Amino acid sequence: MSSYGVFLPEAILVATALASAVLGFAWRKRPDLLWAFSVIGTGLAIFVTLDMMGLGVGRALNLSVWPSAVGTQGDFAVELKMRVDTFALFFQLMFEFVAFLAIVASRGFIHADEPHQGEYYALMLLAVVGMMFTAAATDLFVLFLAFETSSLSTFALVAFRKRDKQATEAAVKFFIIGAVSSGIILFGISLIYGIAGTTSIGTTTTDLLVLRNGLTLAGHPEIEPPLIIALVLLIAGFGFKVAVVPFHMWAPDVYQGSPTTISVLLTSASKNVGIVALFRVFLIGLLSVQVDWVATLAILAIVTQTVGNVVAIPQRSIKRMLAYSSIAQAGYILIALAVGAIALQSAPPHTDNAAYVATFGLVGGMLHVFVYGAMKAGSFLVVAGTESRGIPDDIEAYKGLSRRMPFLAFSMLVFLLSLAGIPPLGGFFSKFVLFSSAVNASAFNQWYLALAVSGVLNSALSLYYYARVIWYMYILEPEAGTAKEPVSRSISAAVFIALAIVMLTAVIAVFFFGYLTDAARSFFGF
Amino acid sequence: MIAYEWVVWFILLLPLGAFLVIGLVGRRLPEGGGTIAVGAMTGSFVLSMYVFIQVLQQGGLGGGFIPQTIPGYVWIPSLLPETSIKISLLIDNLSSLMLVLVSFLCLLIFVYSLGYMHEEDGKARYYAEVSLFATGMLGTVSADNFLQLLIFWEIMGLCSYLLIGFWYSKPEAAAAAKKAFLVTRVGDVLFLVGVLVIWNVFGTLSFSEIQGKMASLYPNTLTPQLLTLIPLLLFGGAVGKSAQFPLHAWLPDAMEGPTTVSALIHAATMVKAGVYLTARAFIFLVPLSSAIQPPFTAILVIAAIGGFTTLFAATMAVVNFDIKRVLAFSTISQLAYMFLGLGAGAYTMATEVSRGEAVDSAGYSAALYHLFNHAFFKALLFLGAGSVIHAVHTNDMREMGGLSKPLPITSKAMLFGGLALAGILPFSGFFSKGEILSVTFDAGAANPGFYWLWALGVGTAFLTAFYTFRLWFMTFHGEYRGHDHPHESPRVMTAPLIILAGFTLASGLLAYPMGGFGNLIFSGAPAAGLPLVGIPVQDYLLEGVSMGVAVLGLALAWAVYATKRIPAERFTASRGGAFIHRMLTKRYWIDDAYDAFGRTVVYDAARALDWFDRKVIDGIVNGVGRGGVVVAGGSDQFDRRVIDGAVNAVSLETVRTSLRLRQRQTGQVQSYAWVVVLGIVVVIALVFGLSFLQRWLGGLGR
Repeated sequence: MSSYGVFLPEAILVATALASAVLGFAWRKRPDLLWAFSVIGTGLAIFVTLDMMGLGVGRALNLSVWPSAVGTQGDFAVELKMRVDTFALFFQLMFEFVAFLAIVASRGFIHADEPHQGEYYALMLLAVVGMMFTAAATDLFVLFLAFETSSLSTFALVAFRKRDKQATEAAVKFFIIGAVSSGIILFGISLIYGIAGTTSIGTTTTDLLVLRNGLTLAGHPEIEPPLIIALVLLIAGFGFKVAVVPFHMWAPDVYQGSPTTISVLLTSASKNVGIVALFRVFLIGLLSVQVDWVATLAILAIVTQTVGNVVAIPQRSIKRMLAYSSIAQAGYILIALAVGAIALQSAPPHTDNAAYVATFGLVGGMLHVFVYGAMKAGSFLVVAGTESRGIPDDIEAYKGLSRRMPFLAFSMLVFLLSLAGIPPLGGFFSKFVLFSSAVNASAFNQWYLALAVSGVLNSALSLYYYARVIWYMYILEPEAGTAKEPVSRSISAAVFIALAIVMLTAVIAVFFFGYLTDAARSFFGF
Repeated sequence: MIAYEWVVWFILLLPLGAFLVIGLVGRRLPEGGGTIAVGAMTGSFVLSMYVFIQVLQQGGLGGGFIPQTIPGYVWIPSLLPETSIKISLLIDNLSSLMLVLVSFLCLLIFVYSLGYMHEEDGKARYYAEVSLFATGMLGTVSADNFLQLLIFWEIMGLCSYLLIGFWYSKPEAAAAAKKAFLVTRVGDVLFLVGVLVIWNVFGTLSFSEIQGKMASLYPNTLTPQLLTLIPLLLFGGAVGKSAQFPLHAWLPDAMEGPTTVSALIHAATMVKAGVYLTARAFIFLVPLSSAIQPPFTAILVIAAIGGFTTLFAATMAVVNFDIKRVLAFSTISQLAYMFLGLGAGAYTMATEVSRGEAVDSAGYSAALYHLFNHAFFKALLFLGAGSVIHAVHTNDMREMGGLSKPLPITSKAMLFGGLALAGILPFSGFFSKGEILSVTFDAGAANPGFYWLWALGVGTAFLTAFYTFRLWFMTFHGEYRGHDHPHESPRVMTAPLIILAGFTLASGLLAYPMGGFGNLIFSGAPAAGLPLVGIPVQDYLLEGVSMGVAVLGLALAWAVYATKRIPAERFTASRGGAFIHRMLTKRYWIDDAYDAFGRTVVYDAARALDWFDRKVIDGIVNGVGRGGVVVAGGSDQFDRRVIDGAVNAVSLETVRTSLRLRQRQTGQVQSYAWVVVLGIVVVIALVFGLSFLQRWLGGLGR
């Protein structure tokens, strides 16, 4: 029995968004109320989502709010072309969580007298709703619509500070490239629709599972070229969101130009929308396409890691450096996609080993998505904290930050080390799982060892520019005096949450791992 | 069967090849590659004749009908072959005739261009674009399905845009090009929607397959509402392309392009594509099975728009002084005749089908016959106008006059064209226009509304003769009023005029004795197995009426503009007359209305919303506490300070932002987009390469 109750978090967020858009007028002089309202709404949504995942208070107190497994409750494959399963819930939680951090920090970052704060929170929440529906979509068109909902909201958010030249410029770039990508995605979908539009049963659908079964029938060599083009168009279109090289060029400009809380949303949540779309489309819908797109994805993963890390080295702007680093991180997450695909494609259906490798890869991917979200959001929030005290976004200005803002500097230290993958921080665990899944996948194709090797080498490379920031913060003497600067409490709180997650991943993962394995299994349908 | 059917492809590929060659290296070729364009077009014309003769031999003349699909390739393959989208050519009586017509006119006009464009810069661009246009038009008339038709149709639209704006440094030309593109786009979107609806209903886009599926899908999948909607959507595309009311505004402005372009694209060929599309839509309008209720509403809409536009456009031609614009309005009016003929014919046919009677395709044939004749005489008139403009370097007829002496060949050729346009026996226009009017009158038996449309058509016949000879007398009669030294155009320009002048006689006289014009181009008959009555309307009384009013119109033009016995001022002397004159010169204010709509509704709405957001909502919020704002006394102040100030501030700010953006942005976003596209290409190459490599390695391993 499906129950519309599984959409309660989305409903809460939409209600909060609409209400805050309206209340924005009434509470123009009281942005703190608006902020509190949005925080409460998002927090409530997270609470409900956690409960549905079986990790929340309801389960702990043994209240049977969600009596049957969410998998069957959330199955709207027929009515809405959506399925809220454990996999979707994980990503939904992730999006809500990042939005929560960004919203919490907004109070310290957005000045009280700035206009349009109601719209700011409303758009942020609507973007999250779009992302959440993307994670649940089981149909290409629904997925596209949800994807666009989130994109359009973020375009507007980047330009939130209308008078800021850099931000409007970034927004225009983001919008134009985003519109191009939407066209590319739509073209890819239409090609796939043209190829598989009518299945043998006679129903017209682009339902991902039907697509998978339909395309398995492909004994037609003539459909190969258009199918390849469609695949590549989808990789490019979703890859734009993920900032996969060579579709990444907008990302540094936009992350640098947007208001930093929005950068948090873009780099940690919006990017993962592209990831979840790629997972859904490629590991389910197009899995059975017998064209060698898997190797291409593996190559793209390696190229993305390397380009991101190499270009990050000479950057002087911290936000820009973090942007390139996030491109590299996306490259690591792509490993999960390549591993899952090769495992499922090369073996006859679901031998134990293939299922194991695929599951392990996806778990690694999801874990990294989660940790990455926390540490990247955290590092951008640190930048937001320094910016709000008038410290420019330049590495020179970070000299001696450990004296002036000890907490932020320490958090930055942890986030950067975690990004580089130093144990026992979160980034180490997720990378470990990811890279070892690539090693496992070498059972199917020995070249996959290269993925693991590239990941390790790239992590070493990235330490170079992360360490430089640490060096500036801790070793060099401050130029602007050593007086301690007060930091906005809301930003500190958000940073603290991210910090806790990154430092305690080892502990959290114990609870989480079982859930993630379930999610991966239900995703693949084992 | 056509022997060596693959040669049909070369009808399209030759001009396409010419486009590529001229586009790449045209600037280094003599005459900007014009000779290559002419050569390619000659090839296309010869091949079209080859196909046409075979169609005639194998049945066209004997009353048979030969549809043949020339297989091409599968464009979008599908797991189920029947839903895959193929690119194939269709040769039947209609398309083979259109191929000959188009390639012949293209050839003549390309030759003429060698003289007309001789002194222009950018010849290579011109010849490349007209070659691409020829590909588009030939592809449109030979497409075997609606999607392919749409693609070539859009290629034509693109070329039309590029060629109207050929002198792109001239602001009027650039504006006209944009206008043409945007206005026709409205129609194109409707057409596209129509194609999508067809695909949804039928699961195929091919003409023959649709026709085959009609009976089985009606009335469950293909509901009567859909059957009305589909032809109307297709007709929407035709309205845009053929410049019918209310999307007619672009065609007169399109005259900013070179005259050869006006002759080729905006008179002889492209604007006919709408008529051709409506003719292809007959598979929906006249389903040829008495089980299916024909969409009478859709037919009436087509006929009514045709009937209205014909008079509407003719009235505007009467007051214009620009020689090309007069011809442009006349083109709109004549195209409307064709739609009227198609509508009336379809109504009669549909009535007969639903009664189970023999089908009379006279209206369909009459409209296409007029299309055929009009292509010749309107091309002739435009090329003649081009020759005149070439001699006197102005479009304004007030600075012409008395040109028959310096331009003897041009003036005689245009006289032939004018007589044909006016519909005077024995020139071609008489036959086809008379037939259309007779068919319309006869359709009145089925629906009395057609009597009114007939009256409109007859009124137009009068006006047509009047404005045509107004043009001729103002240009060639009397004394020269300009300051130039006009001289006859070179042989390469007059030769096409002479050939076309011959056709204004021949295309009427040749076709008539053969039982009217190709009744059998109607593609529906054999499939339905209904008897086809192929006798054209030969109602001498009705045709006499239409010629009679034409002679009256001619006589009036003679009296006003040649002998000046009736001064032209008399018409505008009274207040009513002056008002009508003003209304006509302002083109019924429709262009102004469109502009105003764009400016006020769209642009100002955006600004108003912005202002509303900034001032009103914020103001309301602020004002709630204060209450009691003095409304009455402050309204004038409010208007001047707040509204004007806000509007000025907003627009200034917009300009400033965009300037700043442009300075900072130069090239970057474009280059990012380029990288995205390039990246896609690279990744596609990567996938193909890997897949090849894997097969190769696999082959080695085993």
